[in-house]
Parts: sequence; C-alpha cells; structure tokens
Amino acid sequence: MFRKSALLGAAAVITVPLALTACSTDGNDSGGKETITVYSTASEDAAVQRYNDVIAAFEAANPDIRVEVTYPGADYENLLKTQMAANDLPDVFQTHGWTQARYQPYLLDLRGAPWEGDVSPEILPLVTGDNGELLALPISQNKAGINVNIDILADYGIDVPATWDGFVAAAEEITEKSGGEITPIHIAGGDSWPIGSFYNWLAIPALISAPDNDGAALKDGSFDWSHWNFVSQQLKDLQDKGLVNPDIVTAKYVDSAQLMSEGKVAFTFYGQGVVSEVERLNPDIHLQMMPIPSVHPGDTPTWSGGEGDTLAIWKDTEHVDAAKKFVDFVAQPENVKAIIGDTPILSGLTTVTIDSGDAYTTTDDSIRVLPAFDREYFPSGMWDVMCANGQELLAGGLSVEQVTEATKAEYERLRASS
Amino acid sequence: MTQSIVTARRRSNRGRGINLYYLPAVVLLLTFIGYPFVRGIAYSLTNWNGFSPDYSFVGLDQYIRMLSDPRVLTVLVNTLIYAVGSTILQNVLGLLYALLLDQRLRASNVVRTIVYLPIIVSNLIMGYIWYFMVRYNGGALNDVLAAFGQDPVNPLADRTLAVLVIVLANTFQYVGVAMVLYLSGLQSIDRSYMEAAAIDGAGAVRRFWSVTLPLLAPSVTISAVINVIGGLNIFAVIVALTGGGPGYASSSLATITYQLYFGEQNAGYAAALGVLTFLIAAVLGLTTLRFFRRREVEL
Amino acid sequence: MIRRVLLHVALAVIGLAHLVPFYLLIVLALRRPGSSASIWMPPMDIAWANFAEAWASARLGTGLLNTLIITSASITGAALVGLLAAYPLARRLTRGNGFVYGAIIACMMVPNLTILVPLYRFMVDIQGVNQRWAVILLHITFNLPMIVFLYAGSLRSIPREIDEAAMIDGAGRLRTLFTVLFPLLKPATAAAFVIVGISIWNDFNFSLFFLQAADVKTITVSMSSFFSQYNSYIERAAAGCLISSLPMVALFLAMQRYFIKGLATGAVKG
Repeated sequence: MFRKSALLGAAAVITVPLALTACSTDGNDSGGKETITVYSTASEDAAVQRYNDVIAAFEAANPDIRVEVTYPGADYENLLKTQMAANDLPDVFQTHGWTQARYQPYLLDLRGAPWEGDVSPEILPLVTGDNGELLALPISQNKAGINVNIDILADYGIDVPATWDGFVAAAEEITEKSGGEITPIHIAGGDSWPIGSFYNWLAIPALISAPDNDGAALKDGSFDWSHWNFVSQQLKDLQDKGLVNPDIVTAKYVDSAQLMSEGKVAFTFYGQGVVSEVERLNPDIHLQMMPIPSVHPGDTPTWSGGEGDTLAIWKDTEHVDAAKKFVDFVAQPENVKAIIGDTPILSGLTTVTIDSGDAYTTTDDSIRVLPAFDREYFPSGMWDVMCANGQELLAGGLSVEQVTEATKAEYERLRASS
Repeated sequence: MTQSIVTARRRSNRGRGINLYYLPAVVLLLTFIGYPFVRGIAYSLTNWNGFSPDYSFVGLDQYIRMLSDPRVLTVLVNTLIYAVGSTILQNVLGLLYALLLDQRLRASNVVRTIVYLPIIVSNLIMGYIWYFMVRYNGGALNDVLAAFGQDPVNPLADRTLAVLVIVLANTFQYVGVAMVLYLSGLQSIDRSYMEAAAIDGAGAVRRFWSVTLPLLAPSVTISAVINVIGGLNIFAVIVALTGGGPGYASSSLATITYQLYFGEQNAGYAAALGVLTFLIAAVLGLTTLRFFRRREVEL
Repeated sequence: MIRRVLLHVALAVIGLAHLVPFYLLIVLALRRPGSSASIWMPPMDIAWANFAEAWASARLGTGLLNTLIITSASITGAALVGLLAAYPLARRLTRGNGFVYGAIIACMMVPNLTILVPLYRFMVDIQGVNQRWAVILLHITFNLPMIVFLYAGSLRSIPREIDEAAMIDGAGRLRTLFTVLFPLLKPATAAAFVIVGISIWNDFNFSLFFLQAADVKTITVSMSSFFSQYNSYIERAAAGCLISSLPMVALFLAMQRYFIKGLATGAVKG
C-alpha cells in the first residue's frame, strides 16, 4: 500500500513538470527576431559545416533574422513529400534536382533577384518554370562521370577508355592482371539505387548522346523500347562475365565504399558523392571521374549533368523578405564558393568558377555535359522502376525483354498520370 | 454498516456511469487513428501520387490492380511467414528460456538481461549488425567459414534463406518479450500446485504439460498476439538486411507499401495495400486471440 | 548433480549466443573508420573519438533529453488512460462494451503509413508539428490498445469479490481501482512498461515526421543522421547506439528487481 502510492507520487512528480516543460516548447524565437526554416540535403560532416558557416555569416550580417536549419539526411525526400501533401513546407529548401518535375507548383517566382542574370545558361532551362518563372537558385550543377581508381589503371598500364567496348575490355584486363584480387566494377545492387545509377549513365551514350538519338522520342512517347534492351543486356553481361562483384544482388553501398577505400575496386557508378566518403575512410586512395564512354560508332564521351545544389523558396511562406534575403546572400560568389568547397562539381552561376583540381581524368572542356537522364527524359517516378527491375534482372527473376516490358508499362502509366 | 451496503449497491446499479472511464481513450483513438484511417482509405479510391494537389477518383481500380499484381502474392506469403514464423519461434524459445531461468540459478539474472538487451537497441542498428554478420564480403559468418577453409556464402541472395535470416534476426531481437511474459507468468503460478503434482507422482515433463502449460495459457495468449502484431510490422530489419530484395523476394506488406508510397509515388495503390494489411492483421490477430483463449484454463 | 551442470551449460550457451551481436556492436563502436580488419578482431588502437564525434555531430545530449521526456510522459499517460479504459471493459461485460473493446483492439491493426499523411495534415492544422505535447499524445494513443489489452486481460482474472469488498468498506470506484486493483496488476504494469516503454523509446516514424526541429529531435532521429545515401558513419552509429541504450539498460536493471519482487507478491489469491 505504501509502495504503490509512492510509485504514483513519483510518477506524478516526474511527469508533471516534464509535461509542463514539454508544453512550453516554442516554435518561433522571442526577442523580436524573425525565424526562417531552411532544409538542406547535406549530410557529410564537412558539407554540413560549410552550410553552417555560411548561415552564421548570414545571421551576423542580418541580426534580426534567425535561421533554423535542418539536415534530415536520408529521409529528406520523404519528409518533404509529406509536407507538400499537408501544404506546410519549410521557408527555404533544396530541390535536389526536382525543381521542375516535382516542386514546381510550390515554389516562389524569384525573377528580379540580383543574381538572376548570373545563372549559367546550361542550367537555366532546368530551373525555369513552365511559364518562364525563375524557380530556384542553382548553386551548383553536376558534372559527373564514372568513378575510377586512377592508381589501379596506372599500375596495370591501362588508359582511360573512351568507348564502352574499351571499358569492358579494361575491366577484363584488370581481372586478369590482378589475379582476381581486384574487382573491376562494384555495384551495390542490394541498396537498389546504384542500379538506377548504372542505367541512368549508360542510357546517355546509348540513347541520347549520338547525333541520331532517341531524346525526342522519349519525350513525346514514341520511343522504340527495343533500344532499352541494350542497357539491361550490358548489365547482365557484366554479371555473367564476372566483371562485377559476385554479391551484386545483395551488396550495400557501405560495402562499395569499404572496398574502394581498400583499393580493391577499379570502377564504380556513384558520381561525386562517394569521393568524400572514400577519402574519409582512407585518404591515400586516389579517385577521379572519367567521362562516360560512348556506345555508338562516331560518338564521343560525355558527362552526366543536371542540377546540383539548388535553393528555392516556398511560395506560401510567411517570411518572403527574410527568405529572399537569405537566398540572395547565398548567391554571392564567395558564399557559393564556400558552400561548394572542394566538391568536384560546377558552379551554377557565371560569377563563380570552381577549380576542380584533379577530380576529373581530363580537363578537356569540349566534352559535353548532358542532362541527368531520368530527370530529363523520363516522367517522375521512373527511378524506382529502373532500380527494382534491374535488381530482378540481376537476381535472375526477369529476362532483359521482360525488364523492358515492365519499364515501358510504368513509363506509360506515369506519363498518363502526370 | 447498513448505510455503506446501500451506498455500494446504489453505486453498482448506476453501472453505466463506469463507462465514462473509457471516454478519454475512445476520444484519443477516434481523433488520431479513426479519422486519419478513414481519410487514408479514401486515398485508396484515387490515383494520388502522395504529394501533388491534383488527383482524381478512380473507384476500385487500385484494388483490382492489387488482385492482379504478382508481387502481392509473394509479399503476402512473406508477411505471413514473418508474423507466424517469428511468433512460433519466439514463443517456443521464450518459454524454453523462461523455464531455464526460472530455476533461480545465480547466473539467471545475467542471462535474463543479456537476452532482453536487444529489445533496448534500436532495430535498425540491430538489422545492420545482422547484415555485418551475414554479408558476403567480410561478414562475421564468412570470416568464421574462411578460418575453417570453407568458401564464403551469401544467404541474402537466396530468396528463401533471406526470409529465414530476417525471421531469425527478428526472433533474436524480440525473444526477450516472450521470455519476460512467460517468466512473470511462471512466477505467479502457485508453488502449491507444483508440489501437489509432485506428491501425486508426476515427473518433471508431466508436471510441465499438465500443470504449468495450462496455467501459463493467459501468458501464451498475450505473447502470441503481441508477437503476431509485431511480426506483421517488421520493417527496419528488412530494410537493413535486404531492402526487400532480391527484387521483392523478402519484402513484407509494410516495406512494399512504403516503397510504393514514397519511391514509386503511387499513394493510391499504397493506401489500398494498407487496407489489405489492416484486414490481414485483424483476421490474424483475432484468430490468434480466439485460438489461444479457447485453450485458457480459467481458475 | 548432472542436472545443475547441464542447466549451467545451457545458460552459458544461450548467454554467449545472444552476446555475439553485442560483441560485434562494441567492436564497431571502438574501431577506427575505414579499418579493414575482420569484425571479430577487437581493435588494437581504440578509437574513443567515435563516441565524442557521435555525441557532438548528432547532438545526442538533446536527443536523450527529448526521448526521456517524451517516453516518460507517454508511458505514464498511456498507463493511466489505459487502466481507466480497461476497468469498465473488463468489469461491465455488455454487448456495447464488447464492441468498444473490439474496436479499441482493432486500432492496433491499423498500418502506420496509411494514416501518416492525414495525421500529418491534422497535426499541421492543430499546430502540433515540432511540439512535444503532440507527439506525446500520439504515443499515448497508439499504445492504448496494447495497454488496454494487457490490463483488461489481467483484470478479468481478478475476482469481482475484491472490488465489492473494497466498495462495501466505503471506497468509491476510482479509489478501488487505484488503491486495491492497481497493486494486483503489477505483472501487467511491468509488461506495459517493459514492452510499450521501450517501443516508445525506440520510436522512429512519428519522431521523424513530427519532430524535425533541432531542439525537439529524439535520439532515434538524431542517430539517423549517421546514415545517408553517400555516407555511412557506421562506427559513430554503433557508438551512439551504445550511448543511447545506457539509460534504458540502467532502468531495466533497476526496474527488474522492483518488478520481480512485485511479481512474486502480486500473485492473485482467490
């Protein structure tokens, strides 16, 4: 009898004040400051730090504005989709490549901003709305290619291949000369998205970059789907020839990064995101990006481009002026440079030039940068379709033709509903 | 004295007033579960993609789609395996552990804590630990095999083994729940029953089947229902180990609903699957409850 | 006796088998990122920095505090509301009440994802986003069915005579419930705290969507920052995991003794 009332009493004593503390959580800061919410996709230590530094500089220059920044990491997209459904978005957020295709109805027109004329012409179409609105600030734009451990190529005397056949041959040479110690190509099929990455990049030389290409056909729906077989077939061949990791169906990205940091992998299809991770694990590994080799005779290698870091403002924000001040501040050249840091990427503004050091295997500026394949030529939602079907292909569940059938079916469904 | 009896009788005659006690619970449940669920069901009659303000009513299209989708059958079977398989394994092991630990050896406290610990650890991290145990490249299992000169294995690549590994991982994490429930059940069994049976000449096994198990029946019911519901909701472990793959071979209703909703932007279809999940959970939960309730011995 | 030896061997096997994942977790938490050694090897150079980095980069201190506040408020609230609800449902067995009980249990079966978006919209409307009180209400609501189930089941096995004896002595219904019946429900309360409490502590989904602001993040969400598409801070995640489990482990060890004592004395006698 004594113990029970003690328990209840203890519970009350602990809970009541805690609950009261909980009740008094304040959303907006008091003290006369205006608070704007900013959502960023940055997740790696250094990237988050760069953002925080720029935000601190902004707050110092604008003492009446407070920035509440959130870095949701892996859940960024899901969070934002849920917030869109409830029409409750952050004041400022990154549109991570989906400015036109997904976020457009929710974005404030930024025409008239001081940096409007500085937007780089390659990326301007990607941040322009259907009616000519300026949808976002393009801090950076992608210039990505296949990751290559340049030391491995040097050790075996292999040149950076310029054609896809040359690429496969290089992979075979590496297996042979290393006695199987080094995996030529590592794809983390278990995580699904690396398969989409492979498709996305090979699709460029296969379908888009040659003079006579399927770009227009993909956009107006007249695409000859038998052309899609080629990409699936290449993936299957790599697996059958043993040029990819044997656990391609179950391996996770963490395995790729681990093996890359041990110098046991020559090529991967991850783009610039993996560079900082491998560097963290082993600073002695020398990674570069090579242009995507060409497929059709007479064609040349390309880079995969598209949006990098972009900042947009929610059109229903209650803090329009503060949000605009923030975006304009970030658009200043020294801040763009600060945010990009040493990431191998291009700036989205003509006022800023980034020196990528030796992030790329070549500094030839004539190599074309083509848009990210699935963003430009597929309706929104095809990414998961490519990943899931590619996984089934590798697991032996679907044939090349069946993958094409399934992909085509989803393409048509998504086109009809968008 | 007479006064209190009259008061007591009057109080129990106003029986309906007692129902007020469940009013706060009902209000909360209606507000935060009932109402959103009804709206969620409404989405299953549309072709909504999860975020855009434009969508249209499509009637029962999503349900028709569900019936003809080959993935749904695989996923249904998996979900049942996860729910029922985990439950059986967890309860058998949990009971076994509880019986062993009830012997009140000094080591019991330590082992009880060790078995219970995984529940405290987040199941996503536990899932990753299991991945590090069974993965092909540098997994703990393959390291042991290599030490004995064997070739590495990749259980996650095999469609059946992947499901099995997930059941094992989930069992390992939650067997402590069953164990604690059975321990508390065992310890509230009056020792006099056991002594009476022993005096009557019943051996240990006989005592278990005729005395212990029937008296444990309420614990079995609770444990079974909890585990079945838990098994239906397995999510993080699947994501950490296989991501639902290869393909959809190890996906459960929960993971495929998530993938459809956020990944394939097919919120309408995901909502239809959600309704299916609810129906299956209700049927499975009720069946389990009835099955074990019938076996309970009311003292 | 052979029996004792066999029992000890069995316990040892079980204990060791269940320790393996923890051993691996500790190895991961202590080793340098990028180490290519086997996961079985205890690390030669211990990277204590993992703990400091985990604490700082994920702001685990704030996370722990938030999780503590939310869990203790939620489990207490849920136990209270659940016990109140279970009482009439176990004592007054009418058809109506049977229906209500069934409906409450049915709420356990509702899949979280299906109601996520409507729930989020509703939260925005009542201005509950990034508010701890809102998430506490959610946790209370979603764990009610389980708690009602546990309490109603246990109440049913307590004879009514006990209620009536207490009321004849002059106690009102509420007093009877809390002073007479509640102590007899110790096993159910133990089960509730141990199952529901920990599930709230480890909750990810609600905390993810409803508590994103830096000052209200719970520890599960804070730790999710270790995993993103291109970066897996495994060692920090392991270290963070160990840190965040400590309070629960300590609580479990403390509660264990109290509840075992309670379990033994709480046995119902007719």
